[in-house]
Amino acid sequence: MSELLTLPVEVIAARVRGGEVSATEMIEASLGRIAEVDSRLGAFLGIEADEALASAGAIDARRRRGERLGRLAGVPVARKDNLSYSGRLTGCASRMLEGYVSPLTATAIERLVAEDAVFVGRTNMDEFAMGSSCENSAFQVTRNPWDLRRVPGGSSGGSAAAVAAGAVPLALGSDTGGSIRQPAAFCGVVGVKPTYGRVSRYGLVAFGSSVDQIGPLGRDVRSAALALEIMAGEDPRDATSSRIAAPALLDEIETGLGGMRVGILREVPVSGLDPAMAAAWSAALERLTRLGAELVEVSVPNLEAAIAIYYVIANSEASANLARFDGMRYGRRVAAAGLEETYTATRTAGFGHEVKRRIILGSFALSAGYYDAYYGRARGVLRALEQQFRSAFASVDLLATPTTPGSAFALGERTSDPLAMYLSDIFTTPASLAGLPAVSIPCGCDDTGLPLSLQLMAAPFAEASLLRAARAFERDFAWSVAPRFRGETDAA
Amino acid sequence: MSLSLEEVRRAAALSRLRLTAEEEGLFAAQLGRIVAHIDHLREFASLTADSDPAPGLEADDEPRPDPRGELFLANAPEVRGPFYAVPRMLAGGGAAETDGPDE
Repeated sequence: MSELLTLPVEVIAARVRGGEVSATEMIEASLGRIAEVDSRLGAFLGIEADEALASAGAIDARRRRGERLGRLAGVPVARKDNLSYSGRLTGCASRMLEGYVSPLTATAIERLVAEDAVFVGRTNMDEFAMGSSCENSAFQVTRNPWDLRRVPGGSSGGSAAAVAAGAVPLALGSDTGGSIRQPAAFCGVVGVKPTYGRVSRYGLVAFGSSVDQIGPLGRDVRSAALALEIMAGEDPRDATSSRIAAPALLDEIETGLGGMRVGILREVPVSGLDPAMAAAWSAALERLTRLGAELVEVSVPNLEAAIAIYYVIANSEASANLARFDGMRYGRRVAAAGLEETYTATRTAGFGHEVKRRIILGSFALSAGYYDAYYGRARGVLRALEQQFRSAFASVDLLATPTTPGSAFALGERTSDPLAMYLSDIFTTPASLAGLPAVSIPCGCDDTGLPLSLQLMAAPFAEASLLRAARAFERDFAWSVAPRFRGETDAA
Repeated sequence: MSLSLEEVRRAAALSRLRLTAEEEGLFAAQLGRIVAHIDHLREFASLTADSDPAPGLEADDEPRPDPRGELFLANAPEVRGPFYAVPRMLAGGGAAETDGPDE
Protein backbone atom coordinates (compact mmCIF):
# COMPACT_ATOMS: atom_id res chain seq x y z
CA MET A 1 0.00 0.00 0.00
CA SER A 2 1.21 3.50 -0.66
CA GLU A 3 2.19 4.94 2.70
CA LEU A 4 0.88 8.28 1.47
CA LEU A 5 -2.67 6.95 1.73
CA THR A 6 -2.25 6.29 5.45
CA LEU A 7 -1.22 9.85 6.32
CA PRO A 8 -3.61 12.36 7.92
CA VAL A 9 -5.42 14.23 5.18
CA GLU A 10 -3.98 17.61 6.17
CA VAL A 11 -0.47 16.16 5.71
CA ILE A 12 -1.37 14.76 2.29
CA ALA A 13 -2.81 18.11 1.22
CA ALA A 14 0.25 19.99 2.51
CA ARG A 15 2.52 17.75 0.45
CA VAL A 16 0.40 18.27 -2.65
CA ARG A 17 0.38 22.02 -2.11
CA GLY A 18 4.15 21.96 -1.59
CA GLY A 19 4.77 19.92 -4.71
CA GLU A 20 6.31 16.92 -2.90
CA VAL A 21 3.68 14.73 -4.48
CA SER A 22 1.19 15.57 -7.19
CA ALA A 23 -2.56 15.21 -6.94
CA THR A 24 -2.34 12.83 -9.89
CA GLU A 25 0.13 10.62 -8.01
CA MET A 26 -2.22 10.57 -5.01
CA ILE A 27 -5.17 9.52 -7.14
CA GLU A 28 -3.10 6.91 -8.98
CA ALA A 29 -2.01 5.52 -5.61
CA SER A 30 -5.61 5.32 -4.45
CA LEU A 31 -6.81 3.69 -7.68
CA GLY A 32 -3.91 1.25 -7.46
CA ARG A 33 -4.76 0.27 -3.92
CA ILE A 34 -8.43 -0.15 -4.85
CA ALA A 35 -7.39 -2.45 -7.70
CA GLU A 36 -5.19 -4.39 -5.29
CA VAL A 37 -7.74 -5.01 -2.52
CA ASP A 38 -11.26 -4.49 -3.74
CA SER A 39 -11.76 -7.86 -5.41
CA ARG A 40 -11.46 -9.26 -1.89
CA LEU A 41 -13.40 -6.53 -0.07
CA GLY A 42 -16.21 -5.47 -2.39
CA ALA A 43 -16.13 -2.00 -0.87
CA PHE A 44 -16.75 -0.10 -4.11
CA LEU A 45 -19.80 -0.19 -6.37
CA GLY A 46 -18.15 2.05 -8.94
CA ILE A 47 -14.76 3.60 -9.59
CA GLU A 48 -14.67 7.03 -11.21
CA ALA A 49 -11.07 6.86 -12.43
CA ASP A 50 -11.38 9.14 -15.47
CA GLU A 51 -13.19 11.85 -13.58
CA ALA A 52 -10.80 11.60 -10.62
CA LEU A 53 -7.68 11.75 -12.79
CA ALA A 54 -9.10 14.72 -14.71
CA SER A 55 -9.79 16.57 -11.44
CA ALA A 56 -6.32 15.74 -10.14
CA GLY A 57 -4.74 16.92 -13.40
CA ALA A 58 -6.59 20.23 -13.08
CA ILE A 59 -5.37 20.65 -9.50
CA ASP A 60 -1.78 19.96 -10.58
CA ALA A 61 -2.10 22.48 -13.41
CA ARG A 62 -3.31 25.11 -10.97
CA ARG A 63 -0.35 24.45 -8.72
CA ARG A 64 2.04 24.83 -11.63
CA ARG A 65 0.44 28.18 -12.40
CA GLY A 66 1.11 29.27 -8.83
CA GLU A 67 -2.53 29.27 -7.77
CA ARG A 68 -3.46 28.58 -4.17
CA LEU A 69 -4.76 25.07 -3.53
CA GLY A 70 -7.36 24.05 -0.95
CA ARG A 71 -7.13 22.35 2.43
CA LEU A 72 -7.82 18.94 0.90
CA ALA A 73 -5.63 19.33 -2.18
CA GLY A 74 -5.34 16.00 -3.94
CA VAL A 75 -6.91 13.96 -1.13
CA PRO A 76 -8.73 10.92 -2.56
CA VAL A 77 -12.22 10.57 -1.07
CA ALA A 78 -14.92 7.93 -1.47
CA ARG A 79 -18.64 8.65 -1.18
CA LYS A 80 -21.40 6.39 -0.01
CA ASP A 81 -23.73 5.44 -2.85
CA ASN A 82 -26.58 7.58 -1.44
CA LEU A 83 -24.70 10.86 -1.90
CA SER A 84 -25.37 12.67 -5.15
CA TYR A 85 -22.62 13.88 -7.45
CA SER A 86 -23.77 15.60 -10.62
CA GLY A 87 -23.27 13.54 -13.75
CA ARG A 88 -22.30 10.41 -11.80
CA LEU A 89 -24.20 7.29 -10.85
CA THR A 90 -25.94 7.34 -7.46
CA GLY A 91 -27.85 4.18 -6.71
CA CYS A 92 -28.27 3.57 -2.96
CA ALA A 93 -27.11 0.00 -3.68
CA SER A 94 -30.60 -0.69 -5.02
CA ARG A 95 -31.95 -2.21 -8.22
CA MET A 96 -34.56 0.54 -8.01
CA LEU A 97 -31.98 3.20 -8.94
CA GLU A 98 -29.78 1.15 -11.25
CA GLY A 99 -28.41 3.50 -13.91
CA TYR A 100 -29.60 6.67 -12.18
CA VAL A 101 -27.28 9.61 -12.97
CA SER A 102 -27.60 12.40 -10.45
CA PRO A 103 -28.45 15.86 -11.79
CA LEU A 104 -27.13 17.55 -8.64
CA THR A 105 -24.22 17.49 -6.22
CA ALA A 106 -24.61 17.16 -2.47
CA THR A 107 -23.57 20.31 -0.62
CA ALA A 108 -21.19 18.27 1.54
CA ILE A 109 -19.40 17.00 -1.58
CA GLU A 110 -19.44 20.43 -3.20
CA ARG A 111 -17.69 21.94 -0.18
CA LEU A 112 -15.01 19.24 -0.07
CA VAL A 113 -14.38 19.60 -3.80
CA ALA A 114 -14.09 23.38 -3.32
CA GLU A 115 -11.11 22.54 -1.07
CA ASP A 116 -9.68 20.35 -3.86
CA ALA A 117 -10.66 16.94 -2.54
CA VAL A 118 -10.97 14.38 -5.38
CA PHE A 119 -13.77 11.80 -5.37
CA VAL A 120 -12.64 8.44 -6.68
CA GLY A 121 -15.74 6.28 -6.42
CA ARG A 122 -18.95 5.26 -4.69
CA THR A 123 -19.04 2.73 -1.92
CA ASN A 124 -21.30 -0.18 -1.14
CA MET A 125 -23.99 0.12 1.51
CA ASP A 126 -27.09 -1.59 2.76
CA GLU A 127 -29.85 -0.83 0.28
CA PHE A 128 -31.20 2.70 0.96
CA ALA A 129 -29.05 2.70 4.15
CA MET A 130 -31.26 0.08 5.78
CA GLY A 131 -29.03 -2.34 7.61
CA SER A 132 -26.12 -2.82 9.96
CA SER A 133 -23.93 -5.21 7.98
CA CYS A 134 -23.73 -4.18 4.32
CA GLU A 135 -25.34 -7.52 3.49
CA ASN A 136 -28.52 -5.85 2.24
CA SER A 137 -26.88 -4.35 -0.85
CA ALA A 138 -28.62 -5.48 -4.02
CA PHE A 139 -25.26 -5.95 -5.72
CA GLN A 140 -22.57 -7.35 -3.46
CA VAL A 141 -21.47 -8.15 0.04
CA THR A 142 -18.65 -6.07 1.51
CA ARG A 143 -16.15 -7.85 3.73
CA ASN A 144 -14.32 -6.58 6.77
CA PRO A 145 -10.61 -6.02 5.96
CA TRP A 146 -9.59 -7.23 9.41
CA ASP A 147 -11.28 -10.59 8.79
CA LEU A 148 -12.89 -11.31 5.43
CA ARG A 149 -15.36 -13.71 7.04
CA ARG A 150 -16.85 -10.83 9.03
CA VAL A 151 -19.17 -7.97 8.14
CA PRO A 152 -17.77 -4.43 7.90
CA GLY A 153 -20.89 -3.08 9.60
CA GLY A 154 -23.44 -0.88 7.98
CA SER A 155 -24.95 0.82 6.43
CA SER A 156 -21.80 2.79 5.46
CA GLY A 157 -19.80 -0.45 5.41
CA GLY A 158 -18.15 0.16 2.04
CA SER A 159 -16.83 3.54 3.18
CA ALA A 160 -15.48 2.11 6.44
CA ALA A 161 -13.83 -0.86 4.73
CA ALA A 162 -12.28 1.40 2.06
CA VAL A 163 -10.71 3.66 4.69
CA ALA A 164 -9.51 0.78 6.87
CA ALA A 165 -7.93 -0.98 3.89
CA GLY A 166 -5.99 2.14 2.94
CA ALA A 167 -7.80 2.61 -0.37
CA VAL A 168 -8.76 6.17 0.54
CA PRO A 169 -7.75 8.24 3.56
CA LEU A 170 -11.23 9.72 3.86
CA ALA A 171 -14.77 8.66 2.99
CA LEU A 172 -18.26 10.01 3.44
CA GLY A 173 -21.08 8.08 5.04
CA SER A 174 -24.52 8.83 6.31
CA ASP A 175 -25.82 8.01 9.77
CA THR A 176 -29.48 7.49 10.57
CA GLY A 177 -29.17 5.20 13.60
CA GLY A 178 -25.46 4.45 13.73
CA SER A 179 -24.59 3.89 10.08
CA ILE A 180 -21.29 5.80 10.32
CA ARG A 181 -20.26 4.90 13.87
CA GLN A 182 -21.01 1.17 13.85
CA PRO A 183 -19.05 0.37 10.65
CA ALA A 184 -16.26 2.69 11.82
CA ALA A 185 -16.12 0.61 15.01
CA PHE A 186 -16.17 -2.73 13.19
CA CYS A 187 -13.40 -1.59 10.83
CA GLY A 188 -11.24 0.17 13.42
CA VAL A 189 -11.46 3.69 12.00
CA VAL A 190 -12.88 7.00 13.21
CA GLY A 191 -16.47 7.91 12.33
CA VAL A 192 -18.31 11.12 13.20
CA LYS A 193 -22.06 11.69 13.25
CA PRO A 194 -22.52 15.46 13.44
CA THR A 195 -25.30 17.27 15.27
CA TYR A 196 -28.54 17.13 13.31
CA GLY A 197 -28.51 20.25 11.14
CA ARG A 198 -24.74 20.73 11.28
CA VAL A 199 -24.14 19.36 7.76
CA SER A 200 -26.57 20.03 4.95
CA ARG A 201 -28.55 16.99 3.80
CA TYR A 202 -29.01 18.45 0.32
CA GLY A 203 -28.08 15.72 -2.13
CA LEU A 204 -28.40 12.88 0.38
CA VAL A 205 -31.09 10.40 -0.68
CA ALA A 206 -33.55 10.59 2.21
CA PHE A 207 -34.23 7.65 4.54
CA GLY A 208 -35.34 9.09 7.92
CA SER A 209 -35.31 12.82 7.38
CA SER A 210 -35.50 13.81 11.05
CA VAL A 211 -32.40 11.75 11.88
CA ASP A 212 -30.27 11.45 8.70
CA GLN A 213 -26.86 13.16 8.82
CA ILE A 214 -23.82 13.06 6.54
CA GLY A 215 -20.47 12.57 8.24
CA PRO A 216 -16.84 11.62 7.66
CA LEU A 217 -14.92 8.38 8.21
CA GLY A 218 -11.15 8.69 8.51
CA ARG A 219 -8.11 6.92 9.83
CA ASP A 220 -7.63 9.50 12.58
CA VAL A 221 -9.59 12.14 14.46
CA ARG A 222 -7.89 15.15 12.87
CA SER A 223 -8.74 13.95 9.36
CA ALA A 224 -12.40 13.46 10.25
CA ALA A 225 -12.46 16.82 12.06
CA LEU A 226 -11.06 18.70 9.08
CA ALA A 227 -13.59 17.15 6.72
CA LEU A 228 -16.44 17.98 9.10
CA GLU A 229 -15.21 21.55 9.53
CA ILE A 230 -15.30 22.01 5.77
CA MET A 231 -18.71 20.38 5.25
CA ALA A 232 -20.46 22.10 8.18
CA GLY A 233 -22.60 25.18 8.04
CA GLU A 234 -25.80 26.73 6.85
CA ASP A 235 -27.14 25.79 3.44
CA PRO A 236 -30.23 27.48 2.01
CA ARG A 237 -30.96 24.29 0.05
CA ASP A 238 -31.63 22.33 3.27
CA ALA A 239 -34.31 23.92 5.45
CA THR A 240 -33.12 21.90 8.44
CA SER A 241 -29.50 23.04 8.24
CA SER A 242 -28.53 25.15 11.21
CA ARG A 243 -27.60 28.82 11.21
CA ILE A 244 -25.17 28.20 14.05
CA ALA A 245 -21.72 29.08 12.73
CA ALA A 246 -19.51 26.20 11.63
CA PRO A 247 -16.80 25.63 14.23
CA ALA A 248 -13.03 25.76 13.73
CA LEU A 249 -12.55 22.21 14.94
CA LEU A 250 -8.77 21.94 14.60
CA ASP A 251 -7.89 25.09 16.56
CA GLU A 252 -8.07 23.52 20.02
CA ILE A 253 -8.16 19.85 19.11
CA GLU A 254 -4.79 19.13 20.76
CA THR A 255 -5.62 20.73 24.10
CA GLY A 256 -6.64 17.52 25.86
CA LEU A 257 -9.62 16.54 27.92
CA GLY A 258 -8.33 17.50 31.36
CA GLY A 259 -11.17 18.76 33.54
CA MET A 260 -13.92 17.45 31.33
CA ARG A 261 -16.80 15.70 33.06
CA VAL A 262 -17.68 12.49 31.24
CA GLY A 263 -21.04 10.91 31.99
CA ILE A 264 -21.34 7.14 32.25
CA LEU A 265 -24.89 6.02 31.64
CA ARG A 266 -26.38 3.87 34.37
CA GLU A 267 -28.57 2.22 31.73
CA VAL A 268 -25.68 0.83 29.67
CA PRO A 269 -26.01 -2.93 30.18
CA VAL A 270 -22.39 -3.91 30.85
CA SER A 271 -23.62 -7.45 31.46
CA GLY A 272 -24.81 -7.52 27.85
CA LEU A 273 -21.39 -6.72 26.41
CA ASP A 274 -19.18 -9.37 24.89
CA PRO A 275 -16.37 -10.14 27.38
CA ALA A 276 -13.73 -8.51 25.16
CA MET A 277 -15.85 -5.37 24.83
CA ALA A 278 -16.46 -5.30 28.58
CA ALA A 279 -12.69 -5.39 29.15
CA ALA A 280 -12.00 -2.74 26.50
CA TRP A 281 -14.77 -0.55 27.91
CA SER A 282 -13.32 -0.79 31.40
CA ALA A 283 -9.85 0.04 30.09
CA ALA A 284 -11.25 2.99 28.12
CA LEU A 285 -12.80 4.45 31.26
CA GLU A 286 -9.48 4.07 33.08
CA ARG A 287 -7.75 5.82 30.20
CA LEU A 288 -10.24 8.70 30.24
CA THR A 289 -9.64 9.12 33.97
CA ARG A 290 -5.88 9.03 33.55
CA LEU A 291 -6.14 11.70 30.88
CA GLY A 292 -7.84 14.00 33.38
CA ALA A 293 -11.54 13.40 32.85
CA GLU A 294 -13.87 13.16 35.79
CA LEU A 295 -16.28 10.25 35.38
CA VAL A 296 -19.80 10.90 36.62
CA GLU A 297 -22.68 8.43 36.67
CA VAL A 298 -25.78 9.85 35.01
CA SER A 299 -29.15 8.41 34.10
CA VAL A 300 -31.11 8.56 30.85
CA PRO A 301 -33.93 6.15 31.66
CA ASN A 302 -35.42 6.08 28.17
CA LEU A 303 -32.12 4.94 26.65
CA GLU A 304 -33.40 1.37 26.64
CA ALA A 305 -36.37 2.47 24.53
CA ALA A 306 -34.14 3.86 21.79
CA ILE A 307 -34.27 0.88 19.43
CA ALA A 308 -38.05 0.72 19.59
CA ILE A 309 -38.42 4.47 19.07
CA TYR A 310 -35.94 4.38 16.23
CA TYR A 311 -37.63 1.60 14.31
CA VAL A 312 -40.98 3.36 14.49
CA ILE A 313 -39.80 6.89 13.67
CA ALA A 314 -37.14 6.08 11.05
CA ASN A 315 -39.27 3.50 9.26
CA SER A 316 -42.36 5.68 9.29
CA GLU A 317 -40.31 8.40 7.64
CA ALA A 318 -38.81 5.86 5.26
CA SER A 319 -42.24 4.65 4.19
CA ALA A 320 -43.06 8.23 3.19
CA ASN A 321 -39.66 9.11 1.70
CA LEU A 322 -39.45 5.99 -0.43
CA ALA A 323 -42.93 6.52 -1.82
CA ARG A 324 -41.23 8.61 -4.51
CA PHE A 325 -39.74 5.49 -6.06
CA ASP A 326 -42.67 4.56 -8.22
CA GLY A 327 -41.15 4.22 -11.67
CA MET A 328 -42.40 7.53 -13.00
CA ARG A 329 -39.59 10.09 -12.71
CA TYR A 330 -36.43 8.06 -12.23
CA GLY A 331 -35.16 4.58 -11.70
CA ARG A 332 -36.62 1.45 -13.12
CA ARG A 333 -40.19 0.98 -14.32
CA VAL A 334 -41.91 -2.36 -14.58
CA ALA A 335 -44.71 -1.98 -17.07
CA ALA A 336 -48.15 -3.20 -15.98
CA ALA A 337 -51.78 -2.52 -16.80
CA GLY A 338 -52.46 1.01 -15.57
CA LEU A 339 -50.81 3.45 -13.22
CA GLU A 340 -51.54 1.79 -9.87
CA GLU A 341 -50.41 -1.61 -11.11
CA THR A 342 -47.24 -0.07 -12.50
CA TYR A 343 -46.43 1.49 -9.14
CA THR A 344 -46.86 -1.82 -7.37
CA ALA A 345 -45.04 -3.91 -9.96
CA THR A 346 -42.13 -1.46 -10.02
CA ARG A 347 -41.72 -1.27 -6.25
CA THR A 348 -42.17 -5.01 -5.78
CA ALA A 349 -39.40 -5.73 -8.30
CA GLY A 350 -37.13 -2.83 -7.33
CA PHE A 351 -36.84 -3.10 -3.55
CA GLY A 352 -35.06 -5.83 -1.63
CA HIS A 353 -36.37 -7.72 1.39
CA GLU A 354 -35.09 -5.43 4.15
CA VAL A 355 -36.39 -2.30 2.46
CA LYS A 356 -39.81 -3.90 1.96
CA ARG A 357 -39.90 -5.05 5.58
CA ARG A 358 -39.13 -1.54 6.84
CA ILE A 359 -41.54 0.24 4.50
CA ILE A 360 -44.30 -2.14 5.57
CA LEU A 361 -43.45 -1.58 9.24
CA GLY A 362 -43.55 2.18 8.70
CA SER A 363 -46.86 2.00 6.84
CA PHE A 364 -48.25 -0.16 9.64
CA ALA A 365 -47.15 2.35 12.33
CA LEU A 366 -48.72 5.25 10.43
CA SER A 367 -51.94 3.51 9.44
CA ALA A 368 -55.40 4.31 10.75
CA GLY A 369 -56.05 2.47 14.00
CA TYR A 370 -52.35 2.09 14.85
CA TYR A 371 -50.96 5.63 14.51
CA ASP A 372 -51.49 6.71 18.13
CA ALA A 373 -50.34 3.38 19.57
CA TYR A 374 -47.10 3.31 17.59
CA TYR A 375 -46.03 6.56 15.92
CA GLY A 376 -47.68 8.83 18.48
CA ARG A 377 -46.31 6.87 21.44
CA ALA A 378 -42.80 6.72 19.92
CA ARG A 379 -42.81 10.52 19.47
CA GLY A 380 -43.82 10.98 23.10
CA VAL A 381 -41.14 8.63 24.46
CA LEU A 382 -38.60 10.32 22.18
CA ARG A 383 -39.52 13.73 23.58
CA ALA A 384 -38.89 12.42 27.11
CA LEU A 385 -35.56 10.93 25.93
CA GLU A 386 -34.49 14.31 24.53
CA GLN A 387 -35.35 16.00 27.82
CA GLN A 388 -33.40 13.36 29.76
CA PHE A 389 -30.35 14.01 27.57
CA ARG A 390 -30.69 17.76 28.20
CA SER A 391 -30.73 17.09 31.94
CA ALA A 392 -27.65 14.86 31.64
CA PHE A 393 -25.70 17.46 29.70
CA ALA A 394 -26.47 20.03 32.40
CA SER A 395 -23.96 18.18 34.58
CA VAL A 396 -21.49 16.62 32.13
CA ASP A 397 -19.57 17.67 29.00
CA LEU A 398 -19.68 14.29 27.28
CA LEU A 399 -21.34 10.90 27.54
CA ALA A 400 -19.38 7.70 26.90
CA THR A 401 -20.60 4.25 25.86
CA PRO A 402 -19.16 1.39 23.84
CA THR A 403 -20.04 1.94 20.17
CA THR A 404 -21.26 -1.67 19.83
CA PRO A 405 -21.79 -4.56 22.23
CA GLY A 406 -19.00 -6.54 20.55
CA SER A 407 -16.71 -6.87 17.54
CA ALA A 408 -17.81 -7.44 13.94
CA PHE A 409 -20.08 -10.45 13.60
CA ALA A 410 -19.78 -13.17 10.98
CA LEU A 411 -21.26 -12.79 7.51
CA GLY A 412 -24.73 -14.34 7.45
CA GLU A 413 -24.92 -14.63 11.23
CA ARG A 414 -27.88 -12.29 11.70
CA THR A 415 -29.55 -12.07 8.30
CA SER A 416 -32.44 -14.33 9.26
CA ASP A 417 -33.21 -12.49 12.50
CA PRO A 418 -33.82 -8.80 11.82
CA LEU A 419 -34.62 -8.01 15.45
CA ALA A 420 -31.24 -9.35 16.59
CA MET A 421 -29.60 -7.23 13.89
CA TYR A 422 -31.53 -4.15 15.04
CA LEU A 423 -30.61 -4.67 18.71
CA SER A 424 -26.90 -4.46 17.90
CA ASP A 425 -27.49 -0.71 17.33
CA ILE A 426 -28.46 -0.16 20.99
CA PHE A 427 -25.67 2.34 21.71
CA THR A 428 -25.76 4.33 18.49
CA THR A 429 -29.48 5.02 18.00
CA PRO A 430 -29.91 7.35 21.05
CA ALA A 431 -27.59 10.08 19.68
CA SER A 432 -29.34 9.88 16.31
CA LEU A 433 -32.78 10.25 17.83
CA ALA A 434 -31.75 13.17 20.04
CA GLY A 435 -29.77 14.85 17.24
CA LEU A 436 -26.52 14.75 19.25
CA PRO A 437 -23.03 14.75 17.77
CA ALA A 438 -21.14 11.51 18.41
CA VAL A 439 -17.83 9.95 17.46
CA SER A 440 -16.61 6.37 17.38
CA ILE A 441 -12.90 5.82 18.06
CA PRO A 442 -10.96 2.56 18.43
CA CYS A 443 -10.31 1.57 22.05
CA GLY A 444 -9.13 -2.04 21.87
CA CYS A 445 -9.45 -5.37 20.10
CA ASP A 446 -10.79 -8.81 20.87
CA ASP A 447 -8.66 -11.94 21.15
CA THR A 448 -8.73 -12.43 17.37
CA GLY A 449 -7.54 -8.88 16.70
CA LEU A 450 -10.89 -7.42 15.64
CA PRO A 451 -11.31 -3.75 16.57
CA LEU A 452 -13.50 -2.53 19.42
CA SER A 453 -14.53 1.10 19.83
CA LEU A 454 -15.59 3.76 22.25
CA GLN A 455 -18.42 6.19 21.50
CA LEU A 456 -18.43 9.73 22.86
CA MET A 457 -21.51 11.94 22.61
CA ALA A 458 -21.87 15.65 23.28
CA ALA A 459 -24.60 18.24 23.57
CA PRO A 460 -25.91 19.61 20.26
CA PHE A 461 -23.30 21.65 18.34
CA ALA A 462 -20.52 20.80 20.83
CA GLU A 463 -18.41 19.03 18.17
CA ALA A 464 -15.29 20.99 19.19
CA SER A 465 -15.13 19.52 22.70
CA LEU A 466 -16.30 16.13 21.40
CA LEU A 467 -13.42 15.86 18.94
CA ARG A 468 -10.91 17.40 21.35
CA ALA A 469 -11.66 14.56 23.77
CA ALA A 470 -11.57 11.97 20.98
CA ARG A 471 -8.20 13.27 19.82
CA ALA A 472 -6.78 13.11 23.36
CA PHE A 473 -7.97 9.52 23.69
CA GLU A 474 -6.60 8.58 20.26
CA ARG A 475 -3.21 10.16 20.95
CA ASP A 476 -2.86 8.18 24.16
CA PHE A 477 -4.19 4.88 22.82
CA ALA A 478 -2.00 5.00 19.70
CA TRP A 479 -4.13 2.62 17.60
CA SER A 480 -2.76 1.47 14.27
CA VAL A 481 -5.20 0.92 11.40
CA ALA A 482 -3.47 -2.14 9.99
CA PRO A 483 -6.01 -4.77 8.93
CA ARG A 484 -4.55 -8.15 8.01
CA PHE A 485 -7.20 -9.54 5.65
CA ARG A 486 -7.53 -12.71 7.74
CA GLY A 487 -9.69 -15.55 6.47
CA GLU A 488 -8.58 -15.03 2.89
CA THR A 489 -8.97 -18.67 1.89
CA ASP A 490 -12.28 -19.20 3.67
CA ALA A 491 -13.72 -16.04 2.14
CA ALA A 492 -12.83 -16.91 -1.42
CA MET B 1 -46.24 -13.11 18.56
CA SER B 2 -46.94 -12.48 14.92
CA LEU B 3 -49.00 -10.00 12.99
CA SER B 4 -52.01 -11.46 11.24
CA LEU B 5 -51.65 -12.11 7.54
CA GLU B 6 -54.45 -9.62 7.00
CA GLU B 7 -52.50 -6.88 8.83
CA VAL B 8 -49.40 -7.60 6.74
CA ARG B 9 -51.41 -7.56 3.49
CA ARG B 10 -53.05 -4.27 4.44
CA ALA B 11 -49.73 -2.58 5.29
CA ALA B 12 -48.16 -3.99 2.10
CA ALA B 13 -51.04 -2.62 0.03
CA LEU B 14 -50.60 0.80 1.64
CA SER B 15 -46.93 0.53 0.71
CA ARG B 16 -47.77 -0.42 -2.89
CA LEU B 17 -45.95 -3.71 -2.53
CA ARG B 18 -47.10 -7.16 -3.52
CA LEU B 19 -45.88 -10.06 -1.38
CA THR B 20 -45.78 -13.74 -2.20
CA ALA B 21 -47.53 -16.11 0.19
CA GLU B 22 -44.13 -17.13 1.51
CA GLU B 23 -43.15 -13.49 2.13
CA GLU B 24 -46.44 -12.79 3.87
CA GLY B 25 -45.81 -15.59 6.33
CA LEU B 26 -42.18 -14.62 6.90
CA PHE B 27 -42.95 -10.93 7.36
CA ALA B 28 -45.89 -11.68 9.67
CA ALA B 29 -43.58 -13.59 12.00
CA GLN B 30 -40.63 -11.18 11.77
CA LEU B 31 -42.69 -8.01 12.03
CA GLY B 32 -44.67 -9.57 14.88
CA ARG B 33 -41.49 -9.95 16.92
CA ILE B 34 -40.43 -6.41 16.09
CA VAL B 35 -43.84 -4.98 16.98
CA ALA B 36 -43.79 -6.95 20.26
CA HIS B 37 -40.47 -5.25 21.05
CA ILE B 38 -41.95 -1.86 20.10
CA ASP B 39 -44.89 -2.51 22.43
CA HIS B 40 -42.47 -2.13 25.36
CA LEU B 41 -42.61 1.62 24.71
CA ARG B 42 -45.64 1.62 27.02
CA GLU B 43 -43.25 1.06 29.92
CA PHE B 44 -41.29 4.29 29.39
CA ALA B 45 -41.86 7.90 30.36
CA SER B 46 -43.55 9.93 27.66
CA LEU B 47 -44.15 13.62 27.07
CA THR B 48 -46.73 15.18 24.81
CA ALA B 49 -45.15 15.44 21.41
CA ASP B 50 -44.19 18.97 20.47
CA SER B 51 -46.38 20.30 17.69
CA ASP B 52 -44.15 23.30 17.02
CA PRO B 53 -42.24 22.98 13.79
CA ALA B 54 -38.51 22.58 14.20
CA PRO B 55 -36.63 25.83 13.69
CA GLY B 56 -35.06 25.98 10.30
CA LEU B 57 -34.47 27.99 7.21
CA GLU B 58 -37.27 28.97 4.92
CA ALA B 59 -36.64 29.43 1.26
CA ASP B 60 -38.51 32.06 -0.70
CA ASP B 61 -41.53 30.43 -2.28
CA GLU B 62 -40.90 31.76 -5.74
CA PRO B 63 -40.94 29.76 -8.95
CA ARG B 64 -37.83 30.09 -11.04
CA PRO B 65 -36.47 28.28 -14.06
CA ASP B 66 -34.10 25.41 -13.35
CA PRO B 67 -31.49 24.95 -16.06
CA ARG B 68 -31.08 21.37 -14.93
CA GLY B 69 -34.52 20.37 -16.17
CA GLU B 70 -33.17 18.21 -18.95
CA LEU B 71 -30.85 16.43 -16.54
CA PHE B 72 -33.81 15.51 -14.36
CA LEU B 73 -35.80 14.29 -17.33
CA ALA B 74 -32.85 12.25 -18.53
CA ASN B 75 -33.47 9.79 -15.69
CA ALA B 76 -37.14 9.28 -16.47
CA PRO B 77 -38.20 5.87 -17.76
CA GLU B 78 -40.26 7.67 -20.40
CA VAL B 79 -40.69 11.31 -21.43
CA ARG B 80 -42.65 13.22 -24.00
CA GLY B 81 -41.19 16.62 -24.79
CA PRO B 82 -40.59 18.43 -21.50
CA PHE B 83 -42.98 16.10 -19.60
CA TYR B 84 -42.77 12.82 -17.75
CA ALA B 85 -44.90 10.23 -19.57
CA VAL B 86 -46.92 7.96 -17.29
CA PRO B 87 -49.30 5.06 -17.81
CA ARG B 88 -53.05 5.55 -17.99
CA MET B 89 -54.60 5.98 -14.52
CA LEU B 90 -57.54 3.68 -15.10
CA ALA B 91 -57.06 -0.04 -15.30
CA GLY B 92 -56.88 -1.38 -18.79
CA GLY B 93 -54.67 1.44 -20.02
CA GLY B 94 -51.63 0.68 -22.05
CA ALA B 95 -48.21 2.12 -22.46
CA ALA B 96 -47.54 5.78 -21.92
CA GLU B 97 -47.27 6.56 -25.61
CA THR B 98 -51.00 5.99 -25.95
CA ASP B 99 -51.95 8.60 -23.43
CA GLY B 100 -48.99 10.87 -22.76
CA PRO B 101 -49.65 14.58 -22.42
CA ASP B 102 -49.96 16.65 -25.53
CA GLU B 103 -46.86 18.51 -26.49
